[in-house]
Amino acid sequence: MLAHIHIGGVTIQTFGIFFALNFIAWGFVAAKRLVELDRPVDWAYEIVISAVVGGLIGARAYYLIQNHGSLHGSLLGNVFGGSGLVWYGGLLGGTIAVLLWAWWRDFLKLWLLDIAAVGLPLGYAIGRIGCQVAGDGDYGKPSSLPWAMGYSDGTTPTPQGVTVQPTPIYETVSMGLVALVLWSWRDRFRPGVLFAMYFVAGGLERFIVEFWRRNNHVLGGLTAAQLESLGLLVAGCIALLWTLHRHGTLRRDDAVTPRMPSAEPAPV
Amino acid sequence: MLIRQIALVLGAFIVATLLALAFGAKNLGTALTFGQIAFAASVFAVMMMSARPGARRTKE
Repeated sequence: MLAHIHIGGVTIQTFGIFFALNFIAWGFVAAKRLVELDRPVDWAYEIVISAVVGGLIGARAYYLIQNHGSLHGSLLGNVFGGSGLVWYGGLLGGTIAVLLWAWWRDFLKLWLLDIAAVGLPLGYAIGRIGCQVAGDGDYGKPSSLPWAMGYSDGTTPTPQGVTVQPTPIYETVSMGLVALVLWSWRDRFRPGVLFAMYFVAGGLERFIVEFWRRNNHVLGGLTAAQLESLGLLVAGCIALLWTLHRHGTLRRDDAVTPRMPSAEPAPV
Repeated sequence: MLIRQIALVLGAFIVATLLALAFGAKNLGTALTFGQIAFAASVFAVMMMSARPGARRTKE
């Protein structure tokens, strides 16, 4: 594990490096898509800054609400001190902030959600590398699988000799593939459909991975993240069914179907 | 196209993991971490370098 690195007397958290890379990747994806949509590329920076600020506030607020019983000291000290960020809080805060930006820019359209539908799983995949490298406690239950590993040097260390499931690796691979597939489908479906698909895929991924993670059960043998994942999954399915019911298809009317090579000789 | 891209990023994951093992990674989990980094980097690279599917521009 490499929880922090020292450069010129400055200590940098490795989790923070990947947290920053996640937003940089987001910015590049948004910029490329905005160019394709004939929108100003500078908007990508504004989207990313909005997402960073809203995401940080949301992730921190969610953590404080979730752990209010175990916090000590002043409110301000807890808000600005120590660690503790929760993904779903970040998702909510970031979404609200980006929607406010879009309203200000008069770009409150479903295309915006579809840009996020690719950026969110890509950012998640990159962010989970930070969890893996820092050993911040987002790993799984004890296991004797051949690829199980210990995080004895992590920021939330495992006991000496104990090996656990490296669930951040599973999450990077699954959500990276989701990002890649949704990106390749970006012109295939009606606006908003990609975002609904992200809800379904993201909810399903987290719901399954939670069975290997070490979070506490809160209701019916499920963790809080699993209940939230079910919410995402159901919301995504409802959005897809509603689109299907309203338009008869999820595909865009002018979606381009890849042309198959013709068996007939080309006209001379 | 998509299948080829998926094969490419999974290939990057496997190659980086094997390289890490060959260079003396402490265990398979640690080697997989290098695979994880290579995978995410290749996903990002493929997304940035891939051409837009179809030639038609998106209309709002």
